[in-house]
Amino acid sequence: MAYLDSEKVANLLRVVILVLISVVAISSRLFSVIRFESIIHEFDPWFNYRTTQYLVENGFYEFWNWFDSDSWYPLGRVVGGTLYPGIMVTSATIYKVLQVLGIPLDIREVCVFLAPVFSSFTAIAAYLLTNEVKGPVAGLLAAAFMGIAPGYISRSVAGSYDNEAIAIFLLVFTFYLWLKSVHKGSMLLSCTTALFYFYMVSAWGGYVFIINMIPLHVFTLLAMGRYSNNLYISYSTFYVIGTLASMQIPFVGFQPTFTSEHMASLGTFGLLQLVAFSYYLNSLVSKKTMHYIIGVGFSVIVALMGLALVYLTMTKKIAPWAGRFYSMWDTGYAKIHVPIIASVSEHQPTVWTSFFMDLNILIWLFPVGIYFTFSTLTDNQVFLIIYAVFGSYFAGVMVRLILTLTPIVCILAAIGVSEVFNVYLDFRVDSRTLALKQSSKSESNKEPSPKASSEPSKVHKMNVLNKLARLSVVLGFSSLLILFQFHSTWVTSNAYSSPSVVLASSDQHGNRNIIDDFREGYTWLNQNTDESAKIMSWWDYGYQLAGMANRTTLVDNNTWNNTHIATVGKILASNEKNAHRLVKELDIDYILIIYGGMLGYSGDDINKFLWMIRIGQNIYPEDLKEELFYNSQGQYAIGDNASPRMKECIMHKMSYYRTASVMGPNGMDRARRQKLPSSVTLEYFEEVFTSENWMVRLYKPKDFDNLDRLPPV
Amino acid sequence: MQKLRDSDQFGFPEINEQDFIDLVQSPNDFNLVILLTTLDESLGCSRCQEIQPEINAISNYWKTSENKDDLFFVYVEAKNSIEVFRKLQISDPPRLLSFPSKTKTKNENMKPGEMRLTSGSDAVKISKALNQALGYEFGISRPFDYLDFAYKGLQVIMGAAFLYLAFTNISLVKDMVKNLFLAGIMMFVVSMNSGYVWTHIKNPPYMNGGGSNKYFAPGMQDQLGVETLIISSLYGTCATIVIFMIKRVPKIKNEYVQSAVMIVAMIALVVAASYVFSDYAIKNSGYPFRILIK
Repeated sequence: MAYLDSEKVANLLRVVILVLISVVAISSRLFSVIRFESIIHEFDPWFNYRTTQYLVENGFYEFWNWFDSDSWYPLGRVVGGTLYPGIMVTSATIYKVLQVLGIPLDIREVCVFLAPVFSSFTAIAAYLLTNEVKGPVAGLLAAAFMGIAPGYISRSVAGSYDNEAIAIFLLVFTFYLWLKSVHKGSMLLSCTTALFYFYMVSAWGGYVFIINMIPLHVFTLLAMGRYSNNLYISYSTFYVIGTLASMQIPFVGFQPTFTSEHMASLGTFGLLQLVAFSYYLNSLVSKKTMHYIIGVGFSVIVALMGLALVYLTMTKKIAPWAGRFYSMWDTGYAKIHVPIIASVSEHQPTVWTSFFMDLNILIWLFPVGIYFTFSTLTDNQVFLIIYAVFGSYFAGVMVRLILTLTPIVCILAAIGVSEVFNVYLDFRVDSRTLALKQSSKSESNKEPSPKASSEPSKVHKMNVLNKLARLSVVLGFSSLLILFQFHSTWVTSNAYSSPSVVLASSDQHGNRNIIDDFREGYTWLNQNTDESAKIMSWWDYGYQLAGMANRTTLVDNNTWNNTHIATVGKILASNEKNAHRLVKELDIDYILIIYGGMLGYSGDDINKFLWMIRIGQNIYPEDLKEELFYNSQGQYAIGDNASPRMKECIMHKMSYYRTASVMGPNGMDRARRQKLPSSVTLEYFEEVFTSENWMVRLYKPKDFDNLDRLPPV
Repeated sequence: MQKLRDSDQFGFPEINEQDFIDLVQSPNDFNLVILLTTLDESLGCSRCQEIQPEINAISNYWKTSENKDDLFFVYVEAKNSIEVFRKLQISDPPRLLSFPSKTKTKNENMKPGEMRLTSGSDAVKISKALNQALGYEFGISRPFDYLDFAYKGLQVIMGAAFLYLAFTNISLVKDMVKNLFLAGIMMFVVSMNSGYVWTHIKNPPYMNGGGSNKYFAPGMQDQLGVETLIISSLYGTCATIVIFMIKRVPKIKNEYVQSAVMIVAMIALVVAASYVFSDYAIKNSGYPFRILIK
C-alpha cells in the first residue's frame, strides 16, 4: 500500500474542497439561465455586450478609437475614451482563445457566463488571502462564504455582464498580493500587485477603493510605529508602477496626478519617503541631532505641503472632489445638489433588511472575526481591520457598496468560525489537559491517595459529557451555516436572478407567465423603423435601445451630459405644444414610454417621473418646478386628481392615452392603485406601437403639413 | 404695528381674527408675511412645530434690519382664530402667505402669494422664497439658545476633565485604550451593518404609534428608528456570545460547569439569532426560514 503522509492528504483535500466550492459558486448563479434563457441582464450589461461585440468584430485599435454616433444624439460619444475596457478585453480574449482551441462558442455565451466563472476565482482568491493571514481552515471557510454570499451573487449571476463581475475578483486578489508583498518585502510581488491593480483600474471605477485602502494601511502602520524596509519596498514599488500603469487607461488619464481621490496615495508616498529618510539618518547621526532635525525639518516640510495643497485646491489645479465621493462623506449632499446621483436606487443608504438579506448570519460572525484579528495585530491584520471599518461605513451609505463589504465580511466571519471550530472540534485537547492535570495532581501530593484509582472512571464520565456538549455546539454551528446556505440559495433564486429585460409573473394557479414586452418593443423598432431613426426615452433604457433595437438614442445610462438628460426630462414634463416644438428641434422620430399600470409593474416612467423633474429643474429652474406636479392635497397623484400641470404634460398623456379603452371608464392603475384619468387626448403626437401588456408605448410627433402649420389645424 | 412687533421677543407676534381681516382687507403701507399655523398639541401638527422656529429665525433677523418698518411677520393660531381657517378653507396648516403693500414695495407688480412649505423647508429656503415674493433680502439670526449652550459647555468641560484624568493616569489608560478601541470598532461595524446610516439620513420616527406593529415598519425599504437599535443589539448579543464561547468557556475548570455553560450559551446564541430571522420575516412576508421562534 502506498504511503501518504498527512500533509499531502491535507493538500489534496484542500484542492478537492476548493474545486467543490467553485462548482457550488458557479452553479448557484445559473438560476436565470435555467428559468429564462442565456440572456444579458438589466441595463449597463447591454452596453458592455454591445462594445464587446464591436471589439470582437473590429479588433482592438478600432475599439480604442471608436466614436459612437448612435448615442447621445446629436453629440455622440467617444466610447474608447470613456469606458473601463477591462471586462470587454477579458471576454474577447477568452473568446479568441476558445476559437483557437476549436471550441466554437458564441460571444454572447462568453459574456453571460463570465461572471459565474470569475466568482469561482474570487472564492479561490478569498482562500489565498485568508490563508495568508490566518490559516487553511479559515481560508476554506472564507472561500465557501465568498462563493455563496448573496451580497456578491447579486452582482455576479449569469448574464449580469457588468464591471463588478470581474472587479471583485481583482479587488480580493490585489489585496492578497499586497498583503503578501508587505509580508515578504518582495519587489516582484509588489510589481505583480501593481499589475493586478492596473487590471482593476481597467475594469472598474471602484479601483479608487484600492488606491485609498492601501495608502491608508501604510499610513496606519507608520502611525503605529511599524515602519519596516519591507513596507518601504512594497509601497514605493506599488505606487510608482501602479500609478503609471493606471494612467494608460484613457478614461483615467491624468486623474491620478490631480484629483483629490488620489491625493491620499501621493501624500502617503511622500510621507513614507520622509520616514524612510529619517530612519536612514537615525543610523548615521547621534540622537540629539536627530531630535533637532526632526523637530525643525519635518514641521517645515509638513507646513509647506499643507500650504501647497491649499494653494492647488484654491487655484483649481487639483480638481474638486467628484460628486459621488462627496455623497460618500456628506450624505445629505447628493440629495440636494446632485439629483442624478440620488435618483439611482443603488445610491441610496442601506436598510438593515438589505444587510440581512445579503450577509445573513455572517453579520454577527463578522465582529467575532474582528475581535480575534485584533488580539494578534500583525501588519496584515491591521489591514483587515481598516478594511472592515471603511467597508462597513461605505456599505451603510450606498446599497451597492455592500459588494465591496462582502469579501471582508466573508474573510473575518471565516476567521471567527474557524476559531469556534478550533476550540470545539479539537477533542484531543481534553485528554491532553486531563493528562496534565493528573500529572500535576500526582506531583502535588506525592503519596498515592486511595481516591486515585476511582478517579479515572469519574473523569472519563465527565469527559464523555463534555464531549457531548462540544459536539452539540459544533452541530449547532454547522446547522446555522447550513441554514445560511439555504438562505443564500433562496435569496439568489428569488431576488437576484431576474434579467429585468424579461419579467416573470405567476397567476393564482402558480403557472408562470413570461412577460417579454421590452424585447417586443425593441424588436418592433428594429424591424419597422428607418435605420437612422432617433428614439427618445428616459436614460435608463438608452443602452437597451442601442443594444437590442440598434437605433440612435438621445441619452443613455452613461449619464455624462447632465444638460442633455435634463432636456429630455423637460420635454417629458412639458405640455404637448412645447414638447412638439422641442422634439422637432431635436430631430426626434419616436418617443418611448414605459408604462406599468396595466401589469402593476412599479418601475415604470410615471414612478420615475419625479426624478426626471428634479433633474430637469436643476438645469431649467424657470420651466420646471417640482411643486407644480403635486396636487392641491400635496400628493403626487395621477388621473383626475392630478395637478393641472401633471395632467397636461406629455408623460402623463402618453402613459394614459387610450388606457380607458381596455380598462374601462372606472379602471384602476395597478401600479399605483389610483383611478385612471377619464379622458386623455393627444393632438400633436400619434401612437405607433403598444406592446402586449402595454409596457412599451411608442409615439411619433405629427409632421407639419405642406403649409408648414402645426399638426392640429 | 410696531408695538405689536416689539411685544414679541422674536418680532413674530400672534394676531387674532379681527386683526387678520383688517390687515388683509384694507391696503397697508407695509408688507405682511402671515403664517397660518397651529402650535396646539391637541391638534397634532408636527410640521407647524418644526416651521415656527425657522420663521422665528428670519423675523428675529428682520427686526434688527434697516427697513424693519416696511415689513411685519405675524402668525394666526388656529385654536384661537378658527374662523380664519374656515373662511379660507384651509385644513392643512402650516401655510405661509405674503401680502406686498402697494406703497412700500420694491416692485409694483408684486401680488399676494403663498409659499409652499414642504417637510424640507428650513429658514434658508423660506427666506429665498420670501425674497422672490417680496423683493427684500432676508437674513437669518437664530435666537441664542441658552439651554443648548449650557449643554454644549457641559460636554466640553466633561471632555476636558476626561482628558485631564487620562493624561494624569497615562499608564492605566494605555491598557484601556486598546480595549476601548476594539470595542469602538466592533460597535461601529455592528451599527453600520444594522442600517444606522439610513436612520441617520432619513430620520424616520422612532416608533410606530398607530400601526399594527409598534417596532417594525412594514416594507423592505423602510425602517423605524428603533429597528436599528433592536437589530444591532441582537447582532451584538450573538457576537458577544460567540466570543465568550471561544475565549472564556474553555478556561472554566470544572467540566460539569463547563459543559452546562457551553450548552446554555449555544441555546442563547440560537435564540438571539432566531429573533433576527423572525424580525426579518415580519418585514418580508415571503421569507421561508425561521429558527425556533415563528
